[in-house]
Amino acid sequence: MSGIFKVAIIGSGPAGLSAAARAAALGLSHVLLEKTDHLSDTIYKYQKGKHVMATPSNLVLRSDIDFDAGKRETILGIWDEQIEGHKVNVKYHAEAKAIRGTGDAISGSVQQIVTRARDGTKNVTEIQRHAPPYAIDLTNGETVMAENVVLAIGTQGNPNLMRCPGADLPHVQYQLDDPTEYVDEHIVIVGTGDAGIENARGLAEDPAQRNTVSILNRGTDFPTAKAANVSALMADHEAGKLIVRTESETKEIEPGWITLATRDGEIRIPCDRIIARIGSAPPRAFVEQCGIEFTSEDRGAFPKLSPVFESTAPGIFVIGALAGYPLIKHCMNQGHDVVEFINGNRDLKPADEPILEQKFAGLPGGRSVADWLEFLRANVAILNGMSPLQMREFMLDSEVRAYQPGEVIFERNEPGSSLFGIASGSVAVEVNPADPTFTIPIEAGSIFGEVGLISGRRRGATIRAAEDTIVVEISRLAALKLQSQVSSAKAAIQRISIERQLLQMFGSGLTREDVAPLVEAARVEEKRAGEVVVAEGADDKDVFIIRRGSMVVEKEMGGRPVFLSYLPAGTYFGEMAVIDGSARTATVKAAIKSEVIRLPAQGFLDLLARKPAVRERAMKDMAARRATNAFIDSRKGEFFSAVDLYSQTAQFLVDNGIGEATDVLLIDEKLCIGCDNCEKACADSHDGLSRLDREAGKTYAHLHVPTSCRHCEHPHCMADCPPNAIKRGPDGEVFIDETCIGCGNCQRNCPYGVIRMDAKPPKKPSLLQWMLFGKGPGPGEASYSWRKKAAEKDGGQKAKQAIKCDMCSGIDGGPACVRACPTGAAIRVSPDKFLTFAKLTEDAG
Amino acid sequence: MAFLIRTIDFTAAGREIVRDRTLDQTRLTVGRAAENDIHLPDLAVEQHHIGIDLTAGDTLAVRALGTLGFGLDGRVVTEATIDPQTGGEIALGAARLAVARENDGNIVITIRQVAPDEGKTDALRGFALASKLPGKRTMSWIFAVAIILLLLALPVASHLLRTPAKPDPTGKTPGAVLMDSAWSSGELSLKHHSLENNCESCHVAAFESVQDETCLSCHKDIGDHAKKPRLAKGMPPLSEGDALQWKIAEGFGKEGPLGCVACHSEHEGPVRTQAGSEAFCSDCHKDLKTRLTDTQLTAAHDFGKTHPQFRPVYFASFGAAKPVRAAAGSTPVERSGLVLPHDVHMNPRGGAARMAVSLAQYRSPLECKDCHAATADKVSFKPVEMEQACEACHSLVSGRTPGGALSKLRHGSVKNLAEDLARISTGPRPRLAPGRQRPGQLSSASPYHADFGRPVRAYIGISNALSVGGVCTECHLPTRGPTGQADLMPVNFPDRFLTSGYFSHAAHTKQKCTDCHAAETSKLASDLLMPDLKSCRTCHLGATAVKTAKIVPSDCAMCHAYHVPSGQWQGLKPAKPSMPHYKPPPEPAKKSTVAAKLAQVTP
Amino acid sequence: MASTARNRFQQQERRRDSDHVGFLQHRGYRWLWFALLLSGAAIAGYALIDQEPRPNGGTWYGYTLGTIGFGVILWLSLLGVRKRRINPGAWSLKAWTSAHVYLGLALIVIGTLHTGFQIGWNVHTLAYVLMLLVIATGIYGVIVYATLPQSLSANRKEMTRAQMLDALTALDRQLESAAQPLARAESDLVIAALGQDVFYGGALARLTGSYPGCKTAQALRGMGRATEAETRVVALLEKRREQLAQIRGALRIRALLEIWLFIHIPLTIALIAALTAHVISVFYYW
Repeated sequence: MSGIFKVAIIGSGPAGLSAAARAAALGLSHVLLEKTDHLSDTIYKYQKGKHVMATPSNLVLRSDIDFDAGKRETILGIWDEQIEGHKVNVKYHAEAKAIRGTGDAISGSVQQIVTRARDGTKNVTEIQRHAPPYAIDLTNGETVMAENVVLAIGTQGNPNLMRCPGADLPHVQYQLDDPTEYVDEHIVIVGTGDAGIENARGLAEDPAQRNTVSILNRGTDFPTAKAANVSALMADHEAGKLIVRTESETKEIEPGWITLATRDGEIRIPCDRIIARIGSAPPRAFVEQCGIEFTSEDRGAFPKLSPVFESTAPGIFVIGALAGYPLIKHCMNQGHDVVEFINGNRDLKPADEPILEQKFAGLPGGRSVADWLEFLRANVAILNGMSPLQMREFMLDSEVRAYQPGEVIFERNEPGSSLFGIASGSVAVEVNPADPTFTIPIEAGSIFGEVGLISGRRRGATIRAAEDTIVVEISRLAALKLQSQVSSAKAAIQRISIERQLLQMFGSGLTREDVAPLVEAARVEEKRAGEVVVAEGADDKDVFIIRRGSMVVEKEMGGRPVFLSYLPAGTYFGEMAVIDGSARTATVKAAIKSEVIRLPAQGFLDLLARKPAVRERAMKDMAARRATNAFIDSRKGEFFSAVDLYSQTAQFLVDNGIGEATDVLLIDEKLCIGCDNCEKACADSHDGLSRLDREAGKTYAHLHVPTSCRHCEHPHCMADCPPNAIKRGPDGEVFIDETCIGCGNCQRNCPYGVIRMDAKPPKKPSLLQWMLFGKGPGPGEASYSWRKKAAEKDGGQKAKQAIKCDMCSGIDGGPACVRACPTGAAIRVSPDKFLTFAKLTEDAG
Repeated sequence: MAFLIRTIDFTAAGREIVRDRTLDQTRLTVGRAAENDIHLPDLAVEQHHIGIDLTAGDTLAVRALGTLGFGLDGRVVTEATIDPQTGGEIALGAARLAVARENDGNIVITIRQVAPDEGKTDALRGFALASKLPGKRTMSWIFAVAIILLLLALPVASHLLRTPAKPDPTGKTPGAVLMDSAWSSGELSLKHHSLENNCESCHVAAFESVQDETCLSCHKDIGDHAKKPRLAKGMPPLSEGDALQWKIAEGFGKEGPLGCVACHSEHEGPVRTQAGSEAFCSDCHKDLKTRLTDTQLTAAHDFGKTHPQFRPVYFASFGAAKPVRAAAGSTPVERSGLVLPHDVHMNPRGGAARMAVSLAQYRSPLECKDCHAATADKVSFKPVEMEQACEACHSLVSGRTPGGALSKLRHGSVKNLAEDLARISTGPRPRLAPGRQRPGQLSSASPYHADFGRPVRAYIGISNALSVGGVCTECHLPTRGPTGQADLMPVNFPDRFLTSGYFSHAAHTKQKCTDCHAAETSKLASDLLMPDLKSCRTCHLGATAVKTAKIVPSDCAMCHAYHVPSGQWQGLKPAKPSMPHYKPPPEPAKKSTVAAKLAQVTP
Repeated sequence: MASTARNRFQQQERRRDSDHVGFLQHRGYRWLWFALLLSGAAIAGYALIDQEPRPNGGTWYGYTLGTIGFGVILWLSLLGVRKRRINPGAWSLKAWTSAHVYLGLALIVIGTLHTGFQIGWNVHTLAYVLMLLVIATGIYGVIVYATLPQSLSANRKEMTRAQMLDALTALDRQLESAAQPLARAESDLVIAALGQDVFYGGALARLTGSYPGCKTAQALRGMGRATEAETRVVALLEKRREQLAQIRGALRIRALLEIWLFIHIPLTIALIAALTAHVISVFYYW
């Protein structure tokens, strides 16, 4: 027993070190408890020579010990000596077991600990909190007394486990200490967080090891990884060292094999070792025992913290990864700050303060940053699960705005994939374009814009502020991050989106109460490209809503399937069978990988029963579709050829990715004279490089789909762009901005090969000079030789960058390729408009 | 049957490494995944890209396992059959799998990596026709330069540097400007044709329209139709189009609508300059008074319909200095100073006729031409001469000359007459017998008598001749001279009676004089026998009239000229006879109708 | 269908419908009507307005027609620039082409009336004739543009030009190896075939599509079928010939599509030169 320390710091990670260093610097009586025999075990456990990142770069480091991106060894070395230098009182082999308040019981301050068993039953134990000083019991029997405790133990406690069949097999591991020890193995890394990426890279680093390393990514984006890591990973991927499998998940694990569900169906690949780095949950039990309350019961939830990192147990502070913040820089800043707080410096502002301040600057109410964060967190339902720290991080890539009553937040048909949360006030949704006066209100706390987030389609309705309103706009990436971090938010978003989709389905007249039962019963299902959702003649009775992706409707006619229509996201189908109880009249299958919401027939019928208006509406839609089918049917009789042509052309277009396109370039080869003026125009409108290849691509019935961007709803190219340079612009165009690092991921990810990597060529002589004297290469893309020569003349080729169609955004008059076509052969269309009998027969016939 | 997989790599040093392995199976998979039979570590390659099956037909069935196709002999396909005999080349990413059959029957698949050549697109330029033809730019330059040099620069330059060539109606001097014939928009009219290759004789200065002075330098004696200001005043207002054009043209120094070129447009082909049409005149003259209030000219536009009565010029008093114009519609009394009853002479049974018959010179009753002879241009008539026209009857024989011939009194001057008469009375008498005389005796025939005898018959003769009933007064009117002595009225006729129009007697030979001139019935010399409008109109009607055997459509130009010779009223002779104004009526083809035009273009 | 779809429909309907017609039907033959109107007006004017002393370029009407014609010619010639200068401006080249075609045809009327049917051996008639030639070639262009593209697309068989060349090089690589066992004479034939430029043949050959000097064909003729090696080579040569045929087919159609421009454009420039000379000379010798 060596008296009572002013502050005891548990865990010597970056946060702990920084805190301890600060404490030492301030001359507080302190102790740094480390369970191992070395500092910063987490980083210590990093692979040898691993490059440690220092993100976010815009954040200033505020700590007594230095940190900058560099090799693991260097960093650890610096820290060791600086801790020495600061004469920090470090206690090794000191693993905290429990923390007890030794003061008198704090009346009414009772900690509820809910433990949930796998079978869903939960039992609640209650702990009476006691005031400081705290006694910290160590596993070695010692006890350390301290007025304040800083918990900086990180989240290594218990990594998240895989839950697929075979997850418990011995060759599934959650930790990789030395990548060099494995050779000649097929290794699958699960999870594309930084840890996973680094493991994968380490294993694939040296070809001599002959490891076949694949890393699985559930989605297409890398929301939880550092940009530099991602780009490095892709570099290796490019170099063929390892294989990044996006949009794939482990389905089953067997000895020697692993089965993956991917976008293009299931594949089974050999696999001798699986390393799962799918994040980790805080060592919750221990923390809760200390009287620290968590924001929610989710596994992913974090402790409730005050802005000064103080937990519900007075005098116990939580910082670092445990507090929900994984980035080293932040941890160190927090370590510094928390000690300042403990030292009574209460008005110290966090390091990212200026950035946030600026974000909140324009808002009414003049709250402080902290208040704002709390205000948002408390008022926006999906953010409730977040700690103030996460809020800070989250706010870094989100925006807050205040709107006057009636002010438009976004317009119908405006593209946009961001999510909005209403912090205060309320908004009105103009569900019916015909009469804007009819609106559905969305109250404070709820969210909107989720359809855009999920389906990638343009905004479905105009939304105005109904009163003075403050909304937080959450960028797509932030939203994904949020969903991956706060599972409650994910659930909420999904529920709301389904509800909205239902409400939108019949435009008006429904209330949330009406659809509530349906929402409960609804199930979201993934459909692979080509997967049949509804089979003609079958007598299943469910109703479906397309959540993302798109579907095609087919019908057997004269022995072969005839394309009836194309269903974009947001449409529903399968209602006929329900309403008139008939068998399915047509086959509906996914044009591309899609998500549908399955609504049980009964619930749907009940709804119709309760709401005759809706029934009306449904009948109308039904009639409309019947009409289409009948029309095709009738045509079949007279000119089957036309129907054939139509059907086959449509099929052809869907095969060529029109299904997921929003705006695609087609060329009517009955008009195309092959002058390549489209390419020339493209090159001339985009610094000298053409973004389309007129000739390449498939042709059917003189309808040619050239190699040019389709501006997919869920662009594959966006999937993993390290610098996030690929964005969707105001006109729905998908474009690459100048931050492109030329890694080439997008080029590889694009199934249509529309992205090319090339160096921006030097400027050409003016057109006049060419016309008069033939100076320079002339209009259009300069010949490779010319570009090479010219580039050499003014100092070497520029770095190659990814270039693709941006639909000539910002260029007056729209796509140059279309405008520059002398004969009108080039057109740009969107599938749901173009895949109709009239259009196709007109164009192709 | 086995596959021989031959992988050919190159070390950094460029050394070729060939690895052979034999797979004794009928199916091969190729892809990026390690488990493939042929593993291609190339990202452009799918995990399981293609499968190669050895079919019964001893050919290789190649098909893509994924969605991506593969290249076979340059084509991108998803399925194909390769006959090892002929072989084939499969392209997967940067790898080229050449399939062939070894002599031992095994199928060799040789795998090479080809370096991607980015410059390939350049080869495509060979598809453009431009690679085989002279460039458009070159041709354009050649054409443009040639045309500009030859047809613009050359003429302009030589025009600026030349020493101007004189206008030469004979056409002997060619112009000094080169190639400017290429500028001529058409051949010159017949009269100017000689100037064809001397443009600058008219086009004197650059960017200056042909000036009147240039025209007048040859056409000196062209009289003004009227003074410019009056013309301008009398002109009808121009159409908007013309007005605008002139406004602009005058701005550039072209002489207005009264300039020569305004009417005389050249380069219209080798034709004669046509006189203005009836409309051309009537534009102004049909309502001239409304603009030119002080004019005496009355409205005229169609000879058949609106044309003023003729107003002949005549001498209204004996011996007047100037003739006067007859008032419209008046019956002029002419004071010519003659006594000439036309009826007496024209009467085929009258004494005059009888006498004419008896005379060798006529042998028939008198006709107009016996006294009146037309001038060369057949427009007017020569003055009647007593000696030729009258003397045959009105004899002035006064006796015999000593030679025995008949002696005559001289005509034309009273003084001469007086001398002749005097000579008659003093002439020597012939002797009746040879006279014998004593010395000192005066004979009657001696000069003494003549010189000192008292005057007798001579004096009486002259006064008788001049006094009424005397020989002169048969035709002349007696009068008294300033000193009161007897004298005759001077004969006084205008050169022409109708001065502002032209009448060709030649064109009227079918008519008899008396059809128009009422000579047979004229008893007095004071009758002015000019025909009137009505008598002309019996045949002549306006240009619009229908041509028949009798009716002649006559536009203004048939009798009137635009450019009257200057000073017509003074010295009574025109400077030079104007060209005959009778012309055939314009043929329809000259009319500017679209039909006509089309008729011309359509071959 | 859900409302989203309907909105997009309405939103893009206009653009798409207006876009998807050829240049001749552009905007319901807008420019055709305009051109007809212009010509009609010109003819009517010529017939009705009485031009003293006779109709020609020198009357005020003549000047009017001349000015219109000159303006139109200059504007039409700007298509060449417009085609190569996509930005700035929200115009559509299709519209320009449409106007180019129809106004160009209207020039026949305007130009002819301007001459007043006075033809001669002079710069003025030169300009007129050049204009007619340009228009004539233009008409040919319109015809081929309207008729040939289908065959071009058919000939392509979804191959790009680059792929056609690749195909040939691939075949050549195989020929190279397949020809190893051949005797001197035969291998010379192969060498000749491989050595010959893909784009061998002049403009005429391209237009007619006949290549008498084609070494591949000669090789086929000269090659024996005796040994197995020879048969293989022959098979490859057959392939090569087919590939060449496709390439030459493409060449031919493209040539037919492009040839007229090699007259049209230089003559246009010549025409502009001649017009300049015409205008200047007319006022130089006024």
